[in-house]
Amino acid sequence: MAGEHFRKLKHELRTPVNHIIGYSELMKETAGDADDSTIVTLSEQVNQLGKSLARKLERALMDISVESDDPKMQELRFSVLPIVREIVGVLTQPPARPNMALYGKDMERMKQAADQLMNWALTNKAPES
Amino acid sequence: MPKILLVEDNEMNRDMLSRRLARRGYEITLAMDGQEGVMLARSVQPDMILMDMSLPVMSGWEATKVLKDDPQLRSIPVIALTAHAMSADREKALNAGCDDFDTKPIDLEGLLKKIEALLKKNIETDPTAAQSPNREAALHMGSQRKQGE
Repeated sequence: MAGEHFRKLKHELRTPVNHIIGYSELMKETAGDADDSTIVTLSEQVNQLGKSLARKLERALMDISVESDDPKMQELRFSVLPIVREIVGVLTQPPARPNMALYGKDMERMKQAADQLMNWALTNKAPES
Repeated sequence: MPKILLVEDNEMNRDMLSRRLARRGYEITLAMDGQEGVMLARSVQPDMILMDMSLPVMSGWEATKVLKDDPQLRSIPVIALTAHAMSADREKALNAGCDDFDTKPIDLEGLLKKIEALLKKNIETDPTAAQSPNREAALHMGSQRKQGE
């Protein structure tokens, strides 16, 4: 049972990280087509943060035991939090006002995924995928 | 334009991947679970299926087995998509009949290479696929990408 819960948790943590990575790549492609270098840079920034989050998560999840009180789980929460906050910061305070018709949906979805991770890191509650 | 059936239960994953593939010139049909995937495979006859494995109603493993047991559908290449990077998951997908395997987060360039390789292989080995109206398009997409690389 603990194993099943842990497997579900891993899936629920990976999913929002994958959304951040995927949507940032999609937004970069859209911005590239529109010749919008500001959004290309912003997308790259979010993408790199997402990938760093994914690496951290994969490394940690290999070490963490299925026991929910494993202290390494708490360490993981603390270590992902600054990266998630940085992602939210980049998305909510872009250097210039982005064309929301082009990028609004993707930015909102990345923020939604980051909020899910933030929720998990802060409240000890598994994000809903 | 080659047709891809994307079977994925997560709405954001569906949206993200379908838009990225559509940008590359593929015609995308979406299914939300394994059962719908099998049903749409029968009605749409896609050139390729991208199958998430952890699906509601009917899992990706079960759906792939159903597809590969059907003489009308077995030649359609299936690429398994899963968040699990373990080798056991790869084996499980290949044992179910999947032709290839990719893990999430999707590296689009890597996935496109797999799609093109399987489309090309299918055209070369399957006489019914060779008569498909999408044959030229599938071959053209591969050569277009090579020129762009």
